[in-house]
Amino acid sequence: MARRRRQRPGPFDYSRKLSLQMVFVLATIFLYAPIIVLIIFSFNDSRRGGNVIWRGFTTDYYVKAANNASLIEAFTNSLTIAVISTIFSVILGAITAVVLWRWRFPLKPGFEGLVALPIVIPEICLGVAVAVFFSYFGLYVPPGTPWPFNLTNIIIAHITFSFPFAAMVIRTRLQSFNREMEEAAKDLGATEFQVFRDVILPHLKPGLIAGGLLAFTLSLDDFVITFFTSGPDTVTFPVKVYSMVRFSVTPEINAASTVLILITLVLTAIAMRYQSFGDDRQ
Amino acid sequence: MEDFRRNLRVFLAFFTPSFGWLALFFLAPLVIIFLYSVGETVSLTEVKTTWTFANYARLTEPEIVTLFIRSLWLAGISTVICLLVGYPVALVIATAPPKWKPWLLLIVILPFWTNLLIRTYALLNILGTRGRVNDLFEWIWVQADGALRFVGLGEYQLLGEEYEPIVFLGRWSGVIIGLVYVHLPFTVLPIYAALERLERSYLEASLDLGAGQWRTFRSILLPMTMVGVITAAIITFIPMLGSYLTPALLGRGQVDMIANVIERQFKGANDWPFGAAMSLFLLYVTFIILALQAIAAMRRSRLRGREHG
Amino acid sequence: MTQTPIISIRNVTKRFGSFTALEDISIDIRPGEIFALLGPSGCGKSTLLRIIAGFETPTEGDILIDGKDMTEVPPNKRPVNMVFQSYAVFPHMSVADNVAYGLKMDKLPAAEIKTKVAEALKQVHLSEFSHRMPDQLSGGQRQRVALARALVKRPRVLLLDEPLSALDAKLRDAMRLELVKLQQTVGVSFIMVTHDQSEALAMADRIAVLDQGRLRQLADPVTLYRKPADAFVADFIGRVNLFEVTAHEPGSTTATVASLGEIALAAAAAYPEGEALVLAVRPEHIRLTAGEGPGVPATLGDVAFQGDSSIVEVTLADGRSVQVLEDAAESARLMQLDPGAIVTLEIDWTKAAILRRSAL
Repeated sequence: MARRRRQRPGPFDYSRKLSLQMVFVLATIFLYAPIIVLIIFSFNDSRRGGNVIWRGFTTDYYVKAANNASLIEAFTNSLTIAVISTIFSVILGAITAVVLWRWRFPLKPGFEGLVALPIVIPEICLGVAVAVFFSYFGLYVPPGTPWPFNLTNIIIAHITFSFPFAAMVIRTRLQSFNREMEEAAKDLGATEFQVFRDVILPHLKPGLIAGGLLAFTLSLDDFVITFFTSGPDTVTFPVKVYSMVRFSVTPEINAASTVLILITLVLTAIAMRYQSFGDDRQ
Repeated sequence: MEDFRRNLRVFLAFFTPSFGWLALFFLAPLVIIFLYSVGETVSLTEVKTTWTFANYARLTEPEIVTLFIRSLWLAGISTVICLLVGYPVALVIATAPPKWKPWLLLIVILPFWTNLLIRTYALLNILGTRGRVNDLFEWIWVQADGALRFVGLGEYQLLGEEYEPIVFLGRWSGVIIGLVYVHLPFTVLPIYAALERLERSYLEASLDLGAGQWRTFRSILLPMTMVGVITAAIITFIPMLGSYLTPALLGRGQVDMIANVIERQFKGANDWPFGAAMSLFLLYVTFIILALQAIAAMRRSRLRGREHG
Repeated sequence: MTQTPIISIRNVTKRFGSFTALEDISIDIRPGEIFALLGPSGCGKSTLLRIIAGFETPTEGDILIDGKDMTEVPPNKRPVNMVFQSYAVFPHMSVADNVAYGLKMDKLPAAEIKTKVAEALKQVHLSEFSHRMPDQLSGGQRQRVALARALVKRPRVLLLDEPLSALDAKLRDAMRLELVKLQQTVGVSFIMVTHDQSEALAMADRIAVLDQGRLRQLADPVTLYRKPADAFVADFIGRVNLFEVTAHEPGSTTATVASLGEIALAAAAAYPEGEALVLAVRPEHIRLTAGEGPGVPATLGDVAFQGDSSIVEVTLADGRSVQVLEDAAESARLMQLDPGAIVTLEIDWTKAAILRRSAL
């Protein structure tokens, strides 16, 4: 009987190399430790120096954050802006993706570059440019404009930087569409509109959802561009937190941040479900 | 793909909103900022286009040059750190068992979905002189000191009299940690994609021909994934160069980068033309980097295509 | 045979989790032969090749090269080289650099590398292409680069993984001959993996037929064709009509065969009663005559014209179809007949074989 051999890792099983595993683990700790500490200290019962010394468990700061009217207002503003700009971004993104996918036209590479530009240029440049644009044409939101119309400028800025991202995601999905399906549907008697509704749209759905979630996250995440386009009455959550952090660090911010992280986690979970849903159908 | 003339009305119905939005809210602002950059401040809110180059000339002032060099240096060194950490991380994910891959990828991507400000704030919390990181170092110091005492070297105080907290905030070290922290997920993804595309038989062929592990990495793995590494470097470096939040919070106003000074021109100093000139300069630098990459990519493909015909 | 084997595969078993890819395989490879590992996809032939190259470690068993145990030796320290199925020609290196790569690993002086590379490229007719990049080459040329790259190292054995599968039909035939010629010139043993039985028959000196991780038969092509070890090998190598033997007993000179009835089959008597047997008849060992006569009656079906010959399908009385090979002249006559016409089969019983359903 032949003797049993010890199974050594293959030469390219890098994931089984201890040194590389250590790098991965350390990188993960580096990425997560600050956030975990932040969440832990949101329950710290300490008024001053809230993030330094642990003084016992409390949920007081969640209550406090919930009762902080300006923080809640900023939070509501952020979510409103994110929802509205996401809707517009998905629509504009889908339209742009179809233009790039379907037609051949003069200067197409130029248009393609234009669409990609808001993605690649530094945020600060876009923020400055949009702010200057509104001021140049005197497009200030008059004080006392009813909510949510007072957020118009910010929403426009957000759509401008997030719809190209949505367009890229949707376009990638479109490219995996087999045009023979379209021809098959037409061969079976479908009109252009029916083809779009019955064949293209169902194929596109995961792309629309993924693009929408990306736009939503980008909008919720944005600080720099909002910072330049927001006025004193139109503060978003990141801008509010920024101004609070500059003066003092309180567990209240930790509590509010924890809530936002939770929202992000839920959204990511949804995104993943749809992502795998999309893959199953391929 | 079909010609746009075949169904012009449908084409225009799609093209107009898409191009219109970009023209109005993206191109027009860029044109205006260009007009500002060649203008002069007339009153508090008014800028007149006088076609002056004075604002650009001011970019050569020593403190602005220093600012640019500092920004390039901080972004450059952070990019290198991201690549050095990101490559092994991507390698682990790409060679992990298929069942694990999506989860390992998620671990790396998840922070990207978390709010940038919250992440920077979280880092700010633990990097202080009384923050968790210094707690950890102090603990290590106490253990090491205890160990030295134990072996009878206590009286020499080799590690100093007591633990000196390391200052990160307001120093370049803090800004670099912040930049790496924020951008690491961006670095991993393109490298991972390049590794995933690479056929394993190339590595096996190298080994089969007598090359060792390290030689195979240097001669085959790294060159064949270089495109991914370059993409990773660019999509890490460009946003880093324009970073505002990280230097503002972790640099505490003492380690300014370009964006912080631009912001000051608009919000504090009220020197819009100079701010506009600086933003456009940053934009040009970005374009130059992208153009260099495009030229390199074109030359690569031409080099290969040359003898085809 | 008293020749010392160049490679000894000894009792190799490979399991991936609960799946057994190879089960107790023992093969000796002789110096200077072309050896084919033949089998359907998933039979374990590629795994065996990768074990010889060193990319996989066997769960049990050993690999000996020139009598030395190489099982724990990494691939870069083994005196064998491989031509990959996808060729794996490094796309960022020129043809010459690809061929020189392995020699650089051996730390040969630059001048010697240069001469050896030139020699190897000449051998595969690629001398003018030495400065080209791989993506400027055709599939066939890339394969030659892979060949030159492996052969320039003077391996004890050259391993070829499905060497012809990526080429188009015409090039494949030309390359078969060329590979054999090349092997004769360099004198190195080749071990090739293939799923194409005609490729194995045409090129190999000896063939190992594998199925589901087990070695079914190891023989030269002629033996394999004429004396298959079991029904699987007979079916896999060439065309064959298999009839189930439904009843036989030791000592009897006849046996009952499905579709054919009771016939004189003395060979079946050698097997114990109850052993599952089949009667294998190759299409070329059946003759067809129009009309009724002494033999097995059947009706004419499709005639698949192949140029110099035809495969004729006929249907027996119980509905079972049988393939018959006829030469051009005979098939032309048969094509005159209407489909469904009555024909008679004459089976050459001396060439028909009694086989176990499975040798295992």
